[in-house]
Amino acid sequence: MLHLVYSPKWFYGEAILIDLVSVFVLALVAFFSLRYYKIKKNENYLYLAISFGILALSFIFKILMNFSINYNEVETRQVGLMVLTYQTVESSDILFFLGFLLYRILTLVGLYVLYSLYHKQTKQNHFLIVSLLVALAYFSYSSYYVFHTVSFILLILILIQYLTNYVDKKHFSTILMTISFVTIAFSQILFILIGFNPEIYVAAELTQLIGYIGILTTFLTVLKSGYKKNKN
Amino acid sequence: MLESIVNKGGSIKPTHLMYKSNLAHGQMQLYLEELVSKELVEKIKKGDYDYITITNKGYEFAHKLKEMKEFEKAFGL
Repeated sequence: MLHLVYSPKWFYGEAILIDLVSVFVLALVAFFSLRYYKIKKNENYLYLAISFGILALSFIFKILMNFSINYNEVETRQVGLMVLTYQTVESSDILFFLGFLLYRILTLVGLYVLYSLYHKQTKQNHFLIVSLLVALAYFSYSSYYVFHTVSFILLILILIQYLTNYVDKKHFSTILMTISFVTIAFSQILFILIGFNPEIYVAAELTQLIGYIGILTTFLTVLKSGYKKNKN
Repeated sequence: MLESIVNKGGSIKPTHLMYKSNLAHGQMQLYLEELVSKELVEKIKKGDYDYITITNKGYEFAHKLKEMKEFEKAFGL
């Protein structure tokens, strides 16, 4: 099976760390959103929790995929017998493919759930779009740029919503959220360009990290401002 | 109602609360009973006047509500 790895080898470990930060931020927002849903019973909180939860899960699969790459390397060096080496590579390939596929499916579905939070869809539309996204993730296995282009489009559609919110309400946390999503959307453009130079992958991952730190900053601002106003 | 009590420093006269929270007397009594039953506020007598005072649990809940409002604004919910 063909391994499609775009990250420079020296960056595997760092990429895992960056993805762990993304998982932490996404899981944190999902957890609080679920807590708020239990208090207010507003479905929007539930959809936000589901969306961020799915995105966190997608990054966990991406991390597992990166681990499978590392595992593959180490085993090949340590075991000298030909047959044993072959078996290890094969099982690792399956792990890689599954991780890769689930990462892409969950990312696209997570972004779609976030989009549909702001643009309500019928159940039929949900079924149709999720099916198309799953098919797209599967058939774009070797065409990485298709996945990143669709992610970019979904992010732009979500971004328009955040921008509209900011224009309407002029709220500080809304602009912070908008900037975070602009950064994450920009990272998708960089991911599209990694075919030209593998080093761009590093820039894309770092840009994505900045985006998720932006979401974390927004979230901390929310917690802080709630506390501040209550002290008055 | 909780916000009005917090804005008044944690203690308020019932009539003031009625005006501040823009509620009719009957409505306010109904909500007040619920808040008292959930231990978010308590009725305290200071001299000749009755006061409604927010409890620690009430402060925590008011904080959570503010937090949720900010969260809604940030995520456009």
